[in-house]
Amino acid sequence: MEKWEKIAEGFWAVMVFASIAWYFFLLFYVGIRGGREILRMGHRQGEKPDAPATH
Amino acid sequence: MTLTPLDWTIIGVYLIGCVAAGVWMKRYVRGVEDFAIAGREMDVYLGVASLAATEVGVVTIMYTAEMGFTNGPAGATYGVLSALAMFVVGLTGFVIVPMRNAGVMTIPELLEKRFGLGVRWLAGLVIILGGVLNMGIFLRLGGEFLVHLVGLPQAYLEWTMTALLALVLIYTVLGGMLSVLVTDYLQFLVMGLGIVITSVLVLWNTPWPVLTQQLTLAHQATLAAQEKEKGPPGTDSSSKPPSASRPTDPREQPQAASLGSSEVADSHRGKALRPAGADSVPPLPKGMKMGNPLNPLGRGGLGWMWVLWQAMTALAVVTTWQTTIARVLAARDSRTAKRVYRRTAFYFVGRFALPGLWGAAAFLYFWNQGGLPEGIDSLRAMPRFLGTLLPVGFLGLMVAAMLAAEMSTDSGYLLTWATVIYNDLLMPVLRRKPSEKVRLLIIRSLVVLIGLFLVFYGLWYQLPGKAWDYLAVTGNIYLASLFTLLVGALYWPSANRIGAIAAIILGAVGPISFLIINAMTPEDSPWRIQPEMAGLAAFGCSFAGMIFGSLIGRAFLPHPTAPTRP
Repeated sequence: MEKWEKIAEGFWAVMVFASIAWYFFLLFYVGIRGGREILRMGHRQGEKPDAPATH
Repeated sequence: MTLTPLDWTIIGVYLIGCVAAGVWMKRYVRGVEDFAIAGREMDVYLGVASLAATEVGVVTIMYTAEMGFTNGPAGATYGVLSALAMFVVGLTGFVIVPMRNAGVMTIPELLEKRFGLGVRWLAGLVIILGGVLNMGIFLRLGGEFLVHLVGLPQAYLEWTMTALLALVLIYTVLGGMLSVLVTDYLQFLVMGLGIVITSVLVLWNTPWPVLTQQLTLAHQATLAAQEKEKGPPGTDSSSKPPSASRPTDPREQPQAASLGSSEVADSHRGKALRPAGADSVPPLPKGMKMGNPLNPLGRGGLGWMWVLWQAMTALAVVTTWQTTIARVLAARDSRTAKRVYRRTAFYFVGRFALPGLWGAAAFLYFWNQGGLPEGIDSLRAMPRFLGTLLPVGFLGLMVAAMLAAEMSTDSGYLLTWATVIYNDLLMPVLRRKPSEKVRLLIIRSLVVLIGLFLVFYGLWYQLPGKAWDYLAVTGNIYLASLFTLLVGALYWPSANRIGAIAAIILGAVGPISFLIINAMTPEDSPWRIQPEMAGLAAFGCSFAGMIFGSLIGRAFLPHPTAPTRP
């Protein structure tokens, strides 16, 4: 029983610390890549003809 | 605690920047498609930021922290299930690829292609009923967080949240999904920074090994109290937990014994720990109890039924929750949608694990303080705890982060529900299609109307039971039905209109029964329905409705509708 509790404790420790690391990494990675995509999206939207879109 | 000029500056810069960026995007809105799905121009990383920001609101942080307060790290089980579901769907393209390829704006629009206009309308109604009820508690919970974190007078809650919603409405009404994507991106960054810094501070205050050991002690004390409530000591000595009142033999409690007095004193950096002297399991204050903090399936844990229900819910959410699917439909193509899912998946572990960590640390803090103060319960304990923990300067960042979380969720949800009402409830019943200008005016007006509804319904609504259970059950009103409909429409050639209608009606019966019966019966009544029972029953009934309804329908429908192939 104690063995399973140790495994569970290790699992949750990995989840918590990996989440902090992942959030920190995404701040920069998505920050840079997402910023570029916003500029590209604005550019593409600006190039579209003025005719109203339909669906 | 009061905010310093530095805190106010951080908050002010964030709010002005966010609204300005949102309003700027108005120039690119030419029609309903630009407004509702950003002209399908969303790329991978903007999708990751938008999906993460929309699905992490203050309400999410409140209820996930509540799960940590009542179940420790194991309260994040749904986060793990959710990440797994999202990764598998992102890998296989299950549901999301055929949906994106269908070129529709909402889920009910896809259902019309297979089951007809009636099912589209009914599905739209169910989505609005479940979705708006679900969103009804967002504003109040978000306001409560800010009140307890900053120490604002309770009387300011309504005004603060009304002002915040007004800011959200300004950019959402003007720029639609284009504004939502850009502001979500900014909110993702501010929110992420706040979550990371707060989590590091909480772990500095309450080191991980101490946290888990103390929570285990709290769990043992809870079991002991439950045994005591049941009556005199039972005959089954093997299952008897350590007594809460007697000194504990270290051989019986290896975890308690391993945490010696000096270790506790050394690691006691902050206020969130029990005092030294872990040679007995101290009783918990009234109103506080801890489930199994490490194993959701172990004794006193969340249980198999709950885990199974949450696994089903997780799969249904990532394939049918309209605010999540809105990002799939706004993606440039199905490949982009799959990549967004795969890369966002692990974010959903932190969505539960990190606020859960704050909630667990809050539990230990209030245990150490002798119990929860008056007016504070398991839902409000975490913001009160953070208010005592965060130093000046960080508080402003944390408030900005939580405003970001609230605003991104509100804008995404307002736009999504307005789009469903416009696209699936209003447009199908109009005899003549209005001009593009009028259609834009209609959808913008709907965003404002839903905002007004939220102010009056949301700020006055009293939350029954645990927040997460309420959200999950009201969400299940449509999750079970829509998940069944989509799977049937896309992957079962024999599914038909009768089966679809039966699935919608039966899928709503379980959650609605839960809300009505539990509102009418006292807390200790044996007739009360457990949330997991109501949730699982909803999925079971909905699938049964689809199968049996379709089989019956085959005998009565003159011309079976052609299936939409994935």
